[in-house]
Amino acid sequence: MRRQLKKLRIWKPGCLCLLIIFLAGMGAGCWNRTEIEQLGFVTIMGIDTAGPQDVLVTFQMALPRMLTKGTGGGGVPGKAYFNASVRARNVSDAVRLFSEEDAKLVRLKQLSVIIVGEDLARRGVLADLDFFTRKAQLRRSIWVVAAKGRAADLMIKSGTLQVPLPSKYISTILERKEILTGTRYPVNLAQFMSMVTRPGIDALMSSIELTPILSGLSPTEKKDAGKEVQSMAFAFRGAGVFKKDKLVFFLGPSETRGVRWLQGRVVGGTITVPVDSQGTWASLVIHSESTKVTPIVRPDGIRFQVEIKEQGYISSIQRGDLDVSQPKYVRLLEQEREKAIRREAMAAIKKSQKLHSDFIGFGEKIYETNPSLWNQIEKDWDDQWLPDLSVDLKVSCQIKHTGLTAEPAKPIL
Amino acid sequence: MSIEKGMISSRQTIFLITNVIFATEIQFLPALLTRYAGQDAWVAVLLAAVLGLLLGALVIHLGLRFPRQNVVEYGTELLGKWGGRVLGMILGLFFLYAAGAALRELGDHLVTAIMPETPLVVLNALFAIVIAYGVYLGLEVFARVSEILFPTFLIMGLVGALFLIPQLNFELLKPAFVHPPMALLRSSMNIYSFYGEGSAILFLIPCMRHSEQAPRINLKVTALLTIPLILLVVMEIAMFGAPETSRMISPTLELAKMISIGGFLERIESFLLALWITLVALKVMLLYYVALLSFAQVFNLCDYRPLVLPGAIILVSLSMLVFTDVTQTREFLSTSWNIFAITLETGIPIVLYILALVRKKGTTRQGGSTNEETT
Repeated sequence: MRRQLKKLRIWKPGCLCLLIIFLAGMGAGCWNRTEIEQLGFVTIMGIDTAGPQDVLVTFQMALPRMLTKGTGGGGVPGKAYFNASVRARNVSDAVRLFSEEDAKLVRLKQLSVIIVGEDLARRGVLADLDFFTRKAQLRRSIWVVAAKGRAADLMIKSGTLQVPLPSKYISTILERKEILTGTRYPVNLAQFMSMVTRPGIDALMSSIELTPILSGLSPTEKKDAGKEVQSMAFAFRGAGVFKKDKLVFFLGPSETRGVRWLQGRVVGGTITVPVDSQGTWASLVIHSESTKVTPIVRPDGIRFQVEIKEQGYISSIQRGDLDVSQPKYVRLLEQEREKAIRREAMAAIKKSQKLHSDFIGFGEKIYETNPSLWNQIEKDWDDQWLPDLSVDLKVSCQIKHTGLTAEPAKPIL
Repeated sequence: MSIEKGMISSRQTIFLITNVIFATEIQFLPALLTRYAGQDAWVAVLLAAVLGLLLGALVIHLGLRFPRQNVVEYGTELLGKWGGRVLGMILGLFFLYAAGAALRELGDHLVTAIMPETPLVVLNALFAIVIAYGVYLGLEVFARVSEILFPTFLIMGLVGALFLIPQLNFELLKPAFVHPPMALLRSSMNIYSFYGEGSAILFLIPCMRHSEQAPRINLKVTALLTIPLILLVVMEIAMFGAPETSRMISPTLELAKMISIGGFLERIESFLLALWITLVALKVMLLYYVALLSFAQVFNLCDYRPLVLPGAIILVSLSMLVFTDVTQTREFLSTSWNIFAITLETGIPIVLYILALVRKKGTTRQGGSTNEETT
């Protein structure tokens, strides 16, 4: 009895100690843990062509120390990143080569933007995006944008931006609901892959370019502005059109909004009427919108009926005689607005027909409502059906209120 | 005399059985479903629910004919001494195999998705320690754990799903019903082979405190399985589109990775993943427990506990050997596993039930609660 007790007395704490040691070893972290100082965080990756086969991958690495520095004092925070380019056979190879060169362990978890260079996009992007869908550290909510020009060029020039970390800047802009402008087409990796692989729709990808923040100035004014002229900002004016996975064209801002009108995705922005130059009358804010697209299949062909319903309000009136306290002038503005929306939407349709790329997704509408018909015409859709497609566009606008003022002020004569 | 003396409530049974099916089906299944049934995958889930209800009715009916005996015990009664032993070995090996495969899927998932540099055997061995410990403590213990963890996972998953709604495009579910009925049936077989793992309930019915409530379990388990799976499949298709979903190894993980709460709270998937790991561990626990129980029965042991440790070593080796790679796992789960699992999971209850009817063994339903069969 006594012996047993004694045995227990030794065994129990002994086991406990062993367990604690074991847990301490195991619980401290995962197998492949590394100290944070040894990690290199990639924030943007730019992919360009380099020669007929190879790619040039540009990594924008965050410098966490510089990020914390700026918070104490005032003034413009310094840039908290550096760029590094690697030429390799593919993206994965580039990451490997880069990790061999970099003293720190390359980590892709913080990657938030992929910039695809224009020439690479024209060559086809799927093969290069494959890496990003496979890598465990990555997620499909990464933004993908198509650069106008070389991606590397864009990333190097982003040094003139007044922001410490361009990746944060880009993702903030793209995540923002387009209250002020409906002319962007932000697309993340999941959406892009989905559009490329789905039947009946071709992909769009937001474009990215650098523009001087003082671009509107005249030459003499620019001279006066001095150094500030060199300051650049990223602009997302429009979207790149893809045919299969190859870039074919860059849409402008109003065409991009046209696509969004047709897809029922405009959530904000302003329209200035009238569209034809008869002076400026008023600016109108878009509040909400809904779109209904119905394909009508007849023996003689396929027609589309598109109904766009829009609601908004007046944000400014330029002409003093436009007395919006009278309903008839509100109706007049509504009509002008309908014209403006129609023009944007028609421009997008025309472009789609000209490029033989169904980025609006008319084919998908047929697939959704009449899949057996779609199976028959799928092969010739882009080249035979789409260019001759007739679309009945019905636009109806409603101006819900005039802001805080009724009629515009008039000077007393 | 039954080996297991623990008693579980009918709610615990529901969660145990649901969990045994749910834990691994959410990993590969949505991808396999969309491969055959495209955007109609949810129809396949409904079809499988009907099949699952039928199987559930059969299995519970069989179990209730012998309310105080588990399947190996009354199998011996129906098939004779050696027949019963063969049945016990088949069931034991099948559930051990299923346990090993589930453990491997868990390990593989962790290695590919989160800890690429950790050796698989280390992960599997660590999980096996936990699993063996749970099984050693007995049925009551991990039944209670599942009562806590399974609802927690469901609630967390639903909350996460709420934040995904703005990103979903339900137009991608159109057109519906374009896939031929055979393709739908084909993919519902995929789900059904997972549902069949629920036939582990044959070992649980004698342990239920109120086994007369067992028929009510069927509908609840089916609902608990079908609704989350349909939601999951629909959300995955609405998020990625059917073609992309079918290419993914684990669409559910990709979906969880898309969760972003207000643009600042991201990477929620770690929480869900951590909970999911516990669910799979619970699943393996139940399967492993059932396997050990039937082995103990075959060899007339009075307790299954001496088998826990050696069995765990076999479990780990089995989990290392069962698949060579993830591609094979996917291929196996979408083809051979269906035939293999459905034959055993459905065949054995049917054969036993017919035998019980022919040989007029066991009680009828009405006498279920008063059980004159007690030995």
